[in-house]
Amino acid sequence: MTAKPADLLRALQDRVEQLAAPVPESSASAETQAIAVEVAHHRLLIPMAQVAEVVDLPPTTRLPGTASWLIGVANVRGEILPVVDLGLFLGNPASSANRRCKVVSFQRAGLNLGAVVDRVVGMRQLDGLDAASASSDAEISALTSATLMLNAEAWGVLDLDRLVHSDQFKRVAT
Amino acid sequence: MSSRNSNRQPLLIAFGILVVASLAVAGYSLLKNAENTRNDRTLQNILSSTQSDTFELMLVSDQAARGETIARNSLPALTGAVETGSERILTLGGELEVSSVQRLHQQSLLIKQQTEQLIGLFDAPLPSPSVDITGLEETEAAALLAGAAQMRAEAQAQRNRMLAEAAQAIRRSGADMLATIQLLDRELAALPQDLARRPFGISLFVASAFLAIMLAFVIGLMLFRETQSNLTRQEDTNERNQEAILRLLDEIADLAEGDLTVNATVTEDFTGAIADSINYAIEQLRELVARVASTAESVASSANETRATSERLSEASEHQAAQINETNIAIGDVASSLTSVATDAAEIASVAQNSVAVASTGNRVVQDTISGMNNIREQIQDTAKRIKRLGESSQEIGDIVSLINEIADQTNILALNASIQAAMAGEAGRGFAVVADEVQNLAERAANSTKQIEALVRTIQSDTNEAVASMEQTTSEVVRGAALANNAGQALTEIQSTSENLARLILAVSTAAKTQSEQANRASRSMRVIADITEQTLAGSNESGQAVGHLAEQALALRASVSDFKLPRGYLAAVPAAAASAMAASAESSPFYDEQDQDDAMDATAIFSSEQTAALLSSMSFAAPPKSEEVDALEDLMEEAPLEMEEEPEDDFLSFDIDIDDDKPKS
Repeated sequence: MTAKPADLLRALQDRVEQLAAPVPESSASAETQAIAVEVAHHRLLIPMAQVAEVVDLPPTTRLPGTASWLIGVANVRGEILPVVDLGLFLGNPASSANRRCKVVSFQRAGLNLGAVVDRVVGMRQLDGLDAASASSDAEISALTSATLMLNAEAWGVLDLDRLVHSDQFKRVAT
Repeated sequence: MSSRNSNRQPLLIAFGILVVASLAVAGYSLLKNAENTRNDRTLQNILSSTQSDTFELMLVSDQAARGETIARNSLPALTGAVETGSERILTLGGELEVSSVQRLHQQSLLIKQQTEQLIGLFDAPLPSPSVDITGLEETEAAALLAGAAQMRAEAQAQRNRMLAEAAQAIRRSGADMLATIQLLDRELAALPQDLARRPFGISLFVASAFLAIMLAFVIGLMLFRETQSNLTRQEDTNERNQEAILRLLDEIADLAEGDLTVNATVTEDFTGAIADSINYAIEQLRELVARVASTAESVASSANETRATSERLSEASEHQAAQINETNIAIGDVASSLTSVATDAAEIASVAQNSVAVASTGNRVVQDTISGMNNIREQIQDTAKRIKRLGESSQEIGDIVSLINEIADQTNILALNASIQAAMAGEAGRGFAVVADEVQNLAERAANSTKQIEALVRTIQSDTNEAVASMEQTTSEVVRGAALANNAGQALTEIQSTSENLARLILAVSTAAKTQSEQANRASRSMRVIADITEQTLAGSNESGQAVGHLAEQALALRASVSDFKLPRGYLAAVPAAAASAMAASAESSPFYDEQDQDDAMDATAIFSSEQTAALLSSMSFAAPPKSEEVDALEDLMEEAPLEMEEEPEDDFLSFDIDIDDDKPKS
């Protein structure tokens, strides 16, 4: 019997597909991954499932009568995005809005929001991380769901729902 | 003498007048009888012979007059005789006969006899004046008298000798005259016709001859008479003189024992003058003794002082000799040390030359160092520029790295957003999520690397800045070092010139030290000569000390010798001033005073020994240094006739005085 080369190659591929291990179920799912950011002296992990996009700080328009931590509203690709200065919000005296800052946009409770962070460190895998003692800061501990040890550093896992539903956030316009 | 000559002149004048008169008479006769030339010649011969006779007679009378003062005393008698003789000649001249020639002959014979008688009288010895000297007890007075007697005898002998000479002369002239007269007689006898023819001329000739004979006779007579009267007068005078001498001897007897207080009485006798002279001599003797005493004292004290001085001088000479020896040794040391200094200086000069060479070498090295430092500075500046450029390059690297960092950041954000989109895509975006994850990891690593690069670049930049700063500092240090090296070079140049000067100076010092060494050697030789002279001086001062000691002894002996003299009270104190004035006066060298002074000296020293006299004389003649002949003559005089002048007659004193006068012109 004479076999054609293409048939041979097809037969080899089939065997490889049969024998090959299936694509590993990536542990790096949206639930287990987080974006590590730095705000003022706080090191925070934001779960990737809650984040919509990371962009540069767009030009903002100040809204009158709003709190100082609300920098203003910006136009990001046609969408209105209120930008919150997370540093000021967490009680830091200086604003985090500068040339190298990034805006982490997210959508919670039907509300698009952008949080200004000083620096985006990268993506971090939350699985396998040991828990650490919570920060003594009452403001941050109220907003974080857990505190984890990453590379011998304490990182707080920021829960954006708690942020949106916090009393301070509700007093945005007085 | 001159007085005697003056006494003799009238006599000569009288003779001259006589001769002129006879010549006038003869000339008159010649004028009267000028016809016969032959007779004239004969008469001229006669006249000339008469003239010569007359001159001989004059000589005879001269010789007779020289003998004694007879001629002076017999002048009036002679004059009278001449007058009578001339009268007789005149009367004879008037007669002029042949017979008168015979009378003239007889007269001549008579004159001859009388002359012979006179000669006999002259030959008879003079009666010697006898002086009784045995009565005197003092031996010295006796000796004096004996000496006086001796001198008197000598004087008598002399006088007799002179009388004999005169008599002989007269005798000779008489004999000549006799011969002449005989010749005249013969000629007269040979010329009877001529005389008969010329009675006047012959008679004149006879008168002239007679006049001459008469003159001779008169002179003889006068001599005889004078001798007789002189003898009697001398007898009287001798007696008187003897008495006066005895008186004078009594008065001055103590003088012989050295008593100078005595004074002789000045009488009108002929000893009066002697007494006066003795008084004067005693006075001078007092002054002399006092002066001798004071001079002996002053000589003794001066001799003592001089002896002390010469002792001190000899001590000083010994000290000087010792000092000169020390000085000589010191000069020798100086000479040797100067020689060593000269050699050392020569070595130092060579060392200084070496140091000059070393200094020039050092100067060259310093110049090299300066140029090397300049090179170093340039290289450092070059290096600093390079490092600066390196810093600038690292700055650029930093800029590039920051750009890369931004790109990495952007990549990181993009990968992050891609991961978010893949997660939102669910199961379909699982592969994309892996890619986005890888990209995100790469971006993160790139960002970390760029951070490290940035840190490195910052370190490099700070290091280059520090390097540039330190290089600038090094440059300034190098500049300062170059300046210091320049200073060192100048200092070395100065050291070089200074060393050259030093070498020159040291060479000069070396030559000077050599010269001084030679001079020190010469000085050493001179010091040796000085040492010899000092030894001679020492010997001389010792000798002079001994001589002065001898002089002091002699002065003491002199003082002792004059201490036997007795002087009037208070005289000794009064005299030295007078003696001093007298010495001052004698220093003016008045001839009279000198003469007196020396007479005094003789008088005084007649009593001393001859040695002391010589010493005294030498010490006393201030004005005129004593001549040895003079001293010898004085000593001889003293030895042969002590104190002869007191006793001598005036004539001998005069002759003695004349001897002294003969000596005087020498001094």
